[in-house]
Amino acid sequence: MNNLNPSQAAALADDVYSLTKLDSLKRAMTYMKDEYGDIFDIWSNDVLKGKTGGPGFIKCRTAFGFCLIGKNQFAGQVVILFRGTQYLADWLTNLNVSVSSSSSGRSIHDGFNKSFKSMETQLMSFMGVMNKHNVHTIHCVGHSLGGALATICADWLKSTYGRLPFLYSYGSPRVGLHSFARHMTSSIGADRIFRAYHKTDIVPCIPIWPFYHTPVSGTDYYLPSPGMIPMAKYHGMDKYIDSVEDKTWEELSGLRAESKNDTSIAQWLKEKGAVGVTVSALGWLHQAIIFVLKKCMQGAEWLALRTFGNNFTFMDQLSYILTKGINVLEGAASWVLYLVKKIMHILGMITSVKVEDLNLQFIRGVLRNLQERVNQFTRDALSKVLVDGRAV
Amino acid sequence: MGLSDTGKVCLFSKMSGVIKLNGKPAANARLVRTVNHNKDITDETTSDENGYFEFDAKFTHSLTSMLPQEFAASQKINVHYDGKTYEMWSGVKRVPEENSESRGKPLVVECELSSEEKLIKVNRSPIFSLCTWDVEPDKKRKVF
Repeated sequence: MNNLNPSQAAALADDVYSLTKLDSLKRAMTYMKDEYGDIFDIWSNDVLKGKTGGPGFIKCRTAFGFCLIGKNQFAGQVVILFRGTQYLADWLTNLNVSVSSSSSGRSIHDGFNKSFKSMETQLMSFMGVMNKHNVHTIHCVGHSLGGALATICADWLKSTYGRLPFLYSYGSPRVGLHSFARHMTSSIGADRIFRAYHKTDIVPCIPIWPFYHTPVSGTDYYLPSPGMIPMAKYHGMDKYIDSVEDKTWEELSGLRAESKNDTSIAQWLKEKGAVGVTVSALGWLHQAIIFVLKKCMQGAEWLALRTFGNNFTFMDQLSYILTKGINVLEGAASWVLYLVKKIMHILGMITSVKVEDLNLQFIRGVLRNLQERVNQFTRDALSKVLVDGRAV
Repeated sequence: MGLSDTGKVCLFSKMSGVIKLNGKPAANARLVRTVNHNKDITDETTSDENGYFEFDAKFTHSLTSMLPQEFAASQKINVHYDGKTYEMWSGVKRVPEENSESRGKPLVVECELSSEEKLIKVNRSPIFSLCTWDVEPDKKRKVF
């Protein structure tokens, strides 16, 4: 395969911040040549500009990335490169996350989608340029929100142009619902997707269910980082560069997170465990919700979620399904009880609850509480990031 | 949100030095400095008869930008001297610490306006300038 190695993709994901901030394209070119050798041209004498802004408002267009056209030993290859912005945090802590349709018709985060769409026209004209250069390989690269944009871009390339890109992301948030993640995994192929994340980077932990990471199966690239609490610095590109330095993707794939299978998830649900929201608790909770949902839905499609309409938050939808599971399916009730008790325990609530107590209102109350706490936790983690003046 | 005052980040470290043109001190040159984190902030100073100038460090509170981002602040100093404008310094500061441009030492520069612009990278921060100062550039990582 013709993919970039971890250090190459990381260097690009990091340098895009400098490149978009340099005051002339000439200097950006000089910098790139100095760093990488004479292997890239920047397309069209302009940077990729996109509209940014948090929920409810759109800011003016800012530099978001670059299209690089390979030459010399890189001829026939292009890189579509995205950066993160400070508005990511606004999107990620917004209580009412909404979804909209990706190019392939699957549900993705509406904020990320809007950011991408604001660059679509420029990317379309780049596709025309690409055809003239006999491009055989496309690399989509990004860090943080830039990783989410690269993911959406890869889906766009495949569904609109039938091109099969490579996708590399560092510390990307979850981008879409299960249908999107599953579609990406099969249409792009897990072996062309390189998603790297630090254990204690908060951004890849959110948004929580029903958002899924891409690929849903196959390999992702877990990078150990110290502690349990998300630390500011492990979202920073400097740390990602250090963690992947001189390593191949194959070597990185050997560093595994604690494995979660049905047995270990069931075990986690039943044990008391620690009170409080941690990165580890978030990871387990995500899997546990899916595990219990499966018990409640018995193979019913997740797609059903969308039929609820926009007046329900995802947590409301989840409460509805869990309550239905209790009433309809034998065997589901005890798992719902384990899940609700586990969530209450994490939230520090008193957990003397019985199956009879589990009505829609009760479950919805607990889940809304959870969503608020996760948002608070995210805000806290991000403001710790802020204190360091780094990343996101 | 409970954000504290410690969200202070350095956009441009305190800089002092001497400007020359063809080896002679550029007296009374007007230096205009622009930094950009999320918006342009501009200030200026004038060199003395020996071409000596000083800029105080420029800080910002990330608080003003609501929430954080990967740190990248653009830095620029233009010198207006003898009817001409020289782009003396143009870079992107990639770490929020003060004096990152000179690895912790005070940033003391010597700038020759007639020289050719040079690029160095210090602490992941690219700097194009007409200046020299006491600093070891980043080790080159050969990734491609």
